[in-house]
Amino acid sequence: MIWALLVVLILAAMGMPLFAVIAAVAFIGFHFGGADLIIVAINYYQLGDMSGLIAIPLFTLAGYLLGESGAPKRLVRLSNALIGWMPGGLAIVAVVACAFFTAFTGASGMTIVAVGALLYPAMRQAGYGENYSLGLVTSSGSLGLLFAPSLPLILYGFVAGQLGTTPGVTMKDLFLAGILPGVLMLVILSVHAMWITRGQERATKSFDAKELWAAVKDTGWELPLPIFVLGGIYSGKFAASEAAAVTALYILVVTVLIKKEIKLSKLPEVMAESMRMVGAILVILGAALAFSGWLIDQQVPDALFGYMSQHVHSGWLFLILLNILLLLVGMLMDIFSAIVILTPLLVPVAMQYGIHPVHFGIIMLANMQIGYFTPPVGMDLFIASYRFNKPFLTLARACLPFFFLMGLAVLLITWVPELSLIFIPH
Amino acid sequence: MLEKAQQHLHRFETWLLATLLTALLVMSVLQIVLRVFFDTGFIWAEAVSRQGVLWLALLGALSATREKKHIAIDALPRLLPPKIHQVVWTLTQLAASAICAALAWYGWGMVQLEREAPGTFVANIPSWWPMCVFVAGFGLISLRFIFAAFSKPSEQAL
Repeated sequence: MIWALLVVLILAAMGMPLFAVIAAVAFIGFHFGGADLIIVAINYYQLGDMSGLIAIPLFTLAGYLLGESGAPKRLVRLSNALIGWMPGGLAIVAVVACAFFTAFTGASGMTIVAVGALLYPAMRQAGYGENYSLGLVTSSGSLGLLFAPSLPLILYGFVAGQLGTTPGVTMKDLFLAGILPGVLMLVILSVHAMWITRGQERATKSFDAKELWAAVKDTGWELPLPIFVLGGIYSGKFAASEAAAVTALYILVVTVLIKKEIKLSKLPEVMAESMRMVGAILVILGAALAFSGWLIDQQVPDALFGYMSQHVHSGWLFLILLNILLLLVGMLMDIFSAIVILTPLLVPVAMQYGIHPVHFGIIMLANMQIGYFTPPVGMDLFIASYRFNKPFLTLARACLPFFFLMGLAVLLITWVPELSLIFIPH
Repeated sequence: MLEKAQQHLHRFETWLLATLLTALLVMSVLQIVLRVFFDTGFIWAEAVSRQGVLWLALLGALSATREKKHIAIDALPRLLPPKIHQVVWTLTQLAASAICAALAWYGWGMVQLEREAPGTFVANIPSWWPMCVFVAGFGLISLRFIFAAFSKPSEQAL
């Protein structure tokens, strides 16, 4: 079994698609456990029986449509009118606009391409240093992961919800839990931006009510979006999947029929493109269902806890080890695969240490967010390097201060559970 | 000739994806309207929509295989010299093809098992019918990985 797993691991390191890697591990595990391998197909097939999973394709469609439309430009204009006059204003604009956009597009790198590409030249022109500007737009490419309806947040909800823990994990709880930790990250980056620009001449720009009103009117069609998503779900009127349907339809009508920013003839290709990403994520989720079926069958989480409890005696120590583990995983693996593999393995263990599964999810996402801009794999480094035409290492170095800032946020989120759990009855 | 047939196939795939997605979207919105305003809904909608997501996933994955957009850890092979990179790429794609073939094969076993004790999907359709989509989906993905194996490695991250 060890040899078979080793071969699969080598194939993974050589670039075999991760869904195939996870499925292979499930096959090997069940085979050496003496089970009929049809069980792998049966577990995988549960993918077609998960209630509300349709939220994933529909929110992804919404995000792709927004990315293809003029929404990023309008969003930057509005945030600029709103906060651009403050010290460090443009940097804060970048942080807020990126977070909002990423919540909808799920940090697929689209934030850097659509929003970062607008902000980087603007920041350079306003006199921000090259390194700071590059670092900010690159590391902000994954900011906003903790805000509804981000894809990783929803994916964690499905995988953890499937485990049937008590207390359980619901989409609504997760969406509420992400608010304060997400805001904390925004605040840390904004304070840093003000500190960076200290002592400089105040931006020549002053607050302009006329421009603000014009920007609000310009953004009129996009402004109700957060209300649909958040209001609908938080009030309990909509399930996440229903909010997704309403959001997707609304954005479709606005971008294609009203604003006509996406041509009808281009629409099928945009839809197909978004569904390629959905397909790539969902086959990983299916494989993970088979994988976690094997984990539970072999009682691996129990064994893991049995082993760990001999060496790790406190929840605090567990959390530190968890932070380190997630940082390493984040450096090597994308967030979707990490969620589907680690959640069934670690949530039962974490709960034995008294950690709430919703808090665990927020820690995991916040921690993995850093992985987007750490070498060697950090996806956003590749995308930014491609988009801004700068060497990979320059970007990695530019992101270093943000690594520490976000690291601080992750530690606070980890050690202050109330940040995540304050709105949740527990 | 062959190239033209391929182009048609790809366009057909794009349209199929777009149509399936649109149908699911319309159905979801219709269900909401029926629930909120008329306090009713189609009983079959939930089962069909869940299956629809699975079909969307398989079709999307099939298309992602063609476009080489599957999520993979590909930092290491990027550093290899081009010739070795090509060999490694071929090897990993063939391995992925084999695993998908296994999924299709055991999926077929699952269909046989279901036929012995059939349930219903919706209306009069037995539950093993939609299962065949799983088998066909992974069969086709497996086939496409073989084609991918003998073309150039993927260029861009995701």
